[in-house]
Amino acid sequence: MYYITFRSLTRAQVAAAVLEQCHIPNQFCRAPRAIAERGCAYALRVNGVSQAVAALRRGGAGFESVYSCRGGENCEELRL
Amino acid sequence: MIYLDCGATSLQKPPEVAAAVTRALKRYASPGRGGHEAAREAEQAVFGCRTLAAELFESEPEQVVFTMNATHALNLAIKTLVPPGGKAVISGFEHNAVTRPLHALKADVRIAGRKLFDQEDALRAFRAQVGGGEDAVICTHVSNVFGFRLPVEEIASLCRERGVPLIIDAAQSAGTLPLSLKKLGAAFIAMPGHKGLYGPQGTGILLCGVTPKPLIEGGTGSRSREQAMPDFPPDAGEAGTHNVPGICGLAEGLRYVQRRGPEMILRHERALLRRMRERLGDTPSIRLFDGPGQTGVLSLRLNGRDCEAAAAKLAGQGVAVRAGLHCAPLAHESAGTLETGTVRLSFSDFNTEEEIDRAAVLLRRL
Repeated sequence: MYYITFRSLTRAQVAAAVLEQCHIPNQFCRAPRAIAERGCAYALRVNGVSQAVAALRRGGAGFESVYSCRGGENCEELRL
Repeated sequence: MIYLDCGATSLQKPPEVAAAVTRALKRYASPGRGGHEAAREAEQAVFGCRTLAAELFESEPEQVVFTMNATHALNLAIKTLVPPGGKAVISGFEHNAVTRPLHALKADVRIAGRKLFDQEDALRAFRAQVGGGEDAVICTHVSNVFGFRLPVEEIASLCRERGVPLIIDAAQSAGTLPLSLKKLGAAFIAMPGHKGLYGPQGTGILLCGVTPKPLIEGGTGSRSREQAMPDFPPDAGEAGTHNVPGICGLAEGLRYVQRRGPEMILRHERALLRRMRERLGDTPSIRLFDGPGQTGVLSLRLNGRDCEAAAAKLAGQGVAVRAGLHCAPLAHESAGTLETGTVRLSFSDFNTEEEIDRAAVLLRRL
C-alpha cells in the first residue's frame, strides 16, 4: 500500500479529484503518524503508485512525499 | 414585507440554503479535525463549496479562503499587502471596510475618481495616481450606495501594467457581474456570502491571487507540530473551526447563482431598477441618483425630509430600505450627500415588479 501526502486538506482533496477524473482508485485519509513528521497531514492511499504520481504531476496537483507502508506503520519514503 | 435592502443582506434565499444549514448542524463536524464520518462529511461539504466558488469566479479551490464576511476578507487582503505607513490608492466610492483598515495602518491613501457614474473620470484618476510604488490599489466593483459600476477590468489592466497589486471589493457585484480571478489577475477579490450569493450571514470569500498573511493564528488541521502558521492558502487564512453550516448554506446559494446565471440575475435587478426609476422619476420631491451602467442599487433623497425618518416611515408601512451613510462616508462625500445621507433601495433576484410598484406608491406619498 502506498501513501501520497499533501501539505493541506484542500490540496489532498484537489488531488483526489484529479485521480478520480483519471479513474485511478484512491482513498483519502489522515496520514498515519509514521509519515506525518510535521503534525496532522492528509494522504491518498493508492495501489498503483506510479500511475497516480504521473496523473498528479500532469494535473498540477503537487504532493509532498510518497511512502510505501506495511500495515500503516512500517513506512519507507520512495523517491519517484 | 417588501424587502429592498439586499445591498446589506439578501433576506429571501433559495429554500435549499436553510435546508443545507440545518443538515450541516445535524450531521457535520469540522473539516480537518478528525478521520470519522462526521468530519469527513464536513470536509466534503466545505470542499464542494470551495469548488463551486472556484468555478464561478475562475480560480482554483485552494485560492478560495472562507471568511466571516467581506469586511473580514478585505482586512485579510489589505493587511497582507499594505504595511503600517504603506501606500494605497483607492476609489472615491470605498466602504469603511476598506478605509478603516487603511486608517488603522496609518497608510498614505490617495483617492482616485470622485465623479459619480463617470467611469472615464475614475480611470483617468487611477492612471494619474498609480505610479508603480504603491503597496496596493483597492477598488470597489460597485458602489454600495449608488450602484455605480467602476471600471475594474481597466483598472486591473493598469495595475498589471504598473506592477501594483489590486484588491477588488466585490461586495455588491458577486453574483451579478462577471468576476474572474484568472482574467483580472488581481491579488485579492473579496466578497460576502450573504448578499448576491444568497448564502447565510457570517459567510464570505476571499479569492487569493497571492498567499494571504494570517490575520489570526491558530489550528488549521495541518502541520500541527509547527508553531508558525502554514504559509499557503487556504490554510494561511483559515485558522480555527470553519462556519460549516454557513458554508453549506453558501454552497446552495452559489448553486442557485450558477443555475440561474449572474447575467440573468443582473438583467432582472436592472429591470426592477428601471421600473422604480420610471415610477419615481417625475416626482418633484424625490431626487434620484442614477446613471449609466448602474446595477441593482438606487439611492434617493427626499427634499426637506430626513432620510432616517423617511426610512422609518417606510418600515412602518412594511417596506425595508436602508438610510444614512451606508458605512460609506467617502462615497457620500464624493456624491455630495455626506450631510444628508440617502435612502437606498437595493434589489435581489427575489424581488418582483409588484413589490416595486407598491413601494413606489408609498415613496411618492412620503
